[in-house]
Amino acid sequence: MLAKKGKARATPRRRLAIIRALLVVLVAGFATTSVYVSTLIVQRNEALQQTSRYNTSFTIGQAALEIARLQTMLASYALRPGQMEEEQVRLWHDIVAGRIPVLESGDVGEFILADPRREAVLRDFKVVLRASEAMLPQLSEPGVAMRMVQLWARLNVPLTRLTSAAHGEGGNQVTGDLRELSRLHWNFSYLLIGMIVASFGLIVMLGWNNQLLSRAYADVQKLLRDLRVASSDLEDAHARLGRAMLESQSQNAVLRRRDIELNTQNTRFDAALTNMSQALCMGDGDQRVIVCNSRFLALFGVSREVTEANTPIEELFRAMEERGAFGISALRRVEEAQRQWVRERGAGSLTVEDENGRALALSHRPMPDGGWVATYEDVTAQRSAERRIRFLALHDALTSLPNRTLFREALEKALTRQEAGILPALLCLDLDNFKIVNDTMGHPTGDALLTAVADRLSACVRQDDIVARLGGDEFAVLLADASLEDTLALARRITELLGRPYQIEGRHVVTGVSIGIALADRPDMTADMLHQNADMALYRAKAAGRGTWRVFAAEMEAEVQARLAIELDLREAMARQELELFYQPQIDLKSGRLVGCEALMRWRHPVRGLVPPNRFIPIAEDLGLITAMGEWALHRACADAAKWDTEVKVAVNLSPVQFMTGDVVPVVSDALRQSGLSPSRLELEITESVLLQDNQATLTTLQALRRLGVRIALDDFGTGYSSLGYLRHYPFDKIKIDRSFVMEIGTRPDCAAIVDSIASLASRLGMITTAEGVETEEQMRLVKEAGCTEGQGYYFGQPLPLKEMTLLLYPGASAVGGA
Amino acid sequence: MTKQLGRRAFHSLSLGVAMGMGGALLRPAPARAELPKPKGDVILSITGRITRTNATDAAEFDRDMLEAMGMASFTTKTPWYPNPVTFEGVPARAVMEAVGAQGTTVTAVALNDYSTEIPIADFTRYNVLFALKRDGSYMPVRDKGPIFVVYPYDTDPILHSRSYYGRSAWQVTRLVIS
Repeated sequence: MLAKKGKARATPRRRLAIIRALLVVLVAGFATTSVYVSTLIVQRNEALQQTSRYNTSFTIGQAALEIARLQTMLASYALRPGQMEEEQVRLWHDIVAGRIPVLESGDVGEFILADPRREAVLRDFKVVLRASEAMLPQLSEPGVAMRMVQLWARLNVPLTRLTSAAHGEGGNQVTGDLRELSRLHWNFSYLLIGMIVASFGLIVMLGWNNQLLSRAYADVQKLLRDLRVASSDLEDAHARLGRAMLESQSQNAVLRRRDIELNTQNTRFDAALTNMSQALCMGDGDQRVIVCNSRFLALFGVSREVTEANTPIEELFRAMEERGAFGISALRRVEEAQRQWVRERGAGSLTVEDENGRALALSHRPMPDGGWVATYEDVTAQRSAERRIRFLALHDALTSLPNRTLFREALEKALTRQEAGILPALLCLDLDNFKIVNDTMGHPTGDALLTAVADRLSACVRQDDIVARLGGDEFAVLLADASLEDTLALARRITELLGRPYQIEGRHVVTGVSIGIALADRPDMTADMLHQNADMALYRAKAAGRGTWRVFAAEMEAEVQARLAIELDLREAMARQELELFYQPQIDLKSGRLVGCEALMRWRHPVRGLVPPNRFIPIAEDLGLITAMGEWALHRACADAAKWDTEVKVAVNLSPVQFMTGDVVPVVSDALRQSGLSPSRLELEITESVLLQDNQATLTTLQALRRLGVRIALDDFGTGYSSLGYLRHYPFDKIKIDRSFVMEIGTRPDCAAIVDSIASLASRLGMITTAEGVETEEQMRLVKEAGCTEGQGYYFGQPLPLKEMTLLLYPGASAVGGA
Repeated sequence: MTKQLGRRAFHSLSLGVAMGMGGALLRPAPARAELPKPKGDVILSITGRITRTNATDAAEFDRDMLEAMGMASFTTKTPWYPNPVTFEGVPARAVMEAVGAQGTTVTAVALNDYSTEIPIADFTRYNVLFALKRDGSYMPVRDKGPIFVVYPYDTDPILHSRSYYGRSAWQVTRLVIS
């Protein structure tokens, strides 16, 4: 059947081949025509270009016109000679001259040079132009302009002829171009007719081709229909088979999936059991083991055999007790609790701790089939961490003493038990000089000192009393029940014990303590009030010279308020320039001459008036202002003294803070350099507290100051720690005997003896002694007898402002005080 | 010598304009005299529909002012010279912008009163120059100076036609925008 179709189709195929060949021939014909058309268009374009050639006759006409205009200009110059007319003549010469190159170039040039007669006209044009230009300089002479007009007139006729010739030539060109265009037009027309005929041929062939193709298409369609019937039968059978297969496949897949799910669950369960952080044990309704995880084995140290399924739970517990990972009593409690929950089919959790402090947490849950599951966890570390955190939150990290929070709780608790005649007392403590220790010896030393203080403090109190560190160098003691006498006795004990020197890392450290005491002697006393009162008492203790204690009294409150007000003002005092220096004379006892003066700081407060130094210097030290104030005083005193034209010395006090923390050596040398004061006229007064710390730095600083040429005096000698050892260790020029000895020198023999021995010791060491606070003639006589070399005090003169001091320095000054 | 003559000639030509300015002094100054005044001889005077002026109803330029607008150049074949020449001058478009030309046509007027109308659209379509120099030298009146309106003829065959040759006016001193 297919073979027959093949034969039948052989003829159309040959016909199609013929058509294809004919089409190729036609397309080739069209292509050739296109090329030819394109050539024709190029030709046509060229023809058009010819018609747009430059207009020769216009150009030559322009030349005639310009020459005529030139003649007109010349004529008007001849009639009315003038500057403007002359310029016009020159301009038109230029214009006419510019025309010549135009006539020689392009199409016009071609046209003119093509004929010798035309060329002659152009030559004549040039000749006339040259002649005319030659006459231009004489233009103003009479008749010249008219001669130039005549010269140019010569060109009028030839140029007009040339224009006419150009016009005629232009006409000829146009006719030629039109003829050419007409020829092109006919060529186009023939070509178009040819193309129309070819197109008709194309249409006929395409029609034939179409007919052949549709016949072939019909045959193919029929064949396709037969095939389609056969294939649909096959497809039906195939679909039935496919459905049956799919069904069996899906059944298979369900089975496989279930298998995988079961496996996965098993694996997950296993992984969960093995990896859980808690130990797990599952028991059945007959109290036999179902499963225990590996964590369980590790926690209780039992072997795998005893945790096999079906082992009685009781046996398991016996094995756990035997291993002893946790104490027996704790395990018994666990077993007991679980037995109880099994009976009740209840749930519960429990934490037990054994005698070694090991803690075990248990959580028990029943299962529906009478079995149960329980988890166990070792919470020993957790519990101790919790205890540690609680401790850290309520204790000071450095000293392990209760901190402010815990102390506050204890204080409040103590206050609630106030009734029944129990009287709590609060002591607030503040270390003296701690800042200096910290700053000069370093924080590690400071910290070690605080720890040592905490230890001594704890040793002072009873079991029930509480010692706390409130922060920095502040400590507090709460006496749960104490009489005033007990409290004062404790304060004394503490002051004495804490004031003893400390040995820290082989260094000698000295500090003291000031204590403020408040008693909860009223039923409505709150913790805040009690604390505030103790703080006020502490202020008083510090103001009283430190190393002592004060009990709160109602009137203190006002005083503390006043101190706070001073504090506020003092911060501003430097900036407001309220500080002044007063000078107190120092007299040589033998000669009665003025040998020096001590610079004393005064604060001229706008409202309070003149504030004495003992009222504000301690506050300035507390507030940390003393370094800046001391520096100012040093500069001021040096500057003042430099102006005095005498050998009188000036003494300036150095505060311990300033001495130990400040860069005192550069400051002093700076003050000397700026003022120009001779170093030998400057005396620095330091107190014993500077020497309290056994510190190499102190010695180094003192030696450095001595090297500057400055003199050093030990102030207030005899008070405080007064060690004669200082005199041996440190390089002093002068000792100032404290006023307390001088004041009682006449009444108390011991005072006289002390003054006497200090003076003789000093003289042996080659030091000067100054008696301070000399107020009467009697005192003056006695200190002189005791061997003091100099005196200072109201008897000789009170501290004076700079102006009065300056007056004193001049004639008659030696008679001051009647010495 | 020729150049000087030419210059003097322009000076006298611009006298009329200067007199007009003298008259303007009596009247309030024109509101939009934004262009600077020329310092040298005026070589181009533009009148008609323009928004920026520096004289009464006119914008006047000396050579420096024109050159300050920016020079451009091209080399082309022309019907007036046997060999290709290089023209240098101000783009006509720049001059139109400078005076704020509002119209569509420029009438270029030459010294010999030849005048031709040029569509302003040409200035943007073709880079038309108001040429001041030919082959590097300023053009005197004798060589089509001071200003020669030139097209870059070689850039488009259409430019080599009578119409564009006609628009290429030389010895131009005046433009009227309409």
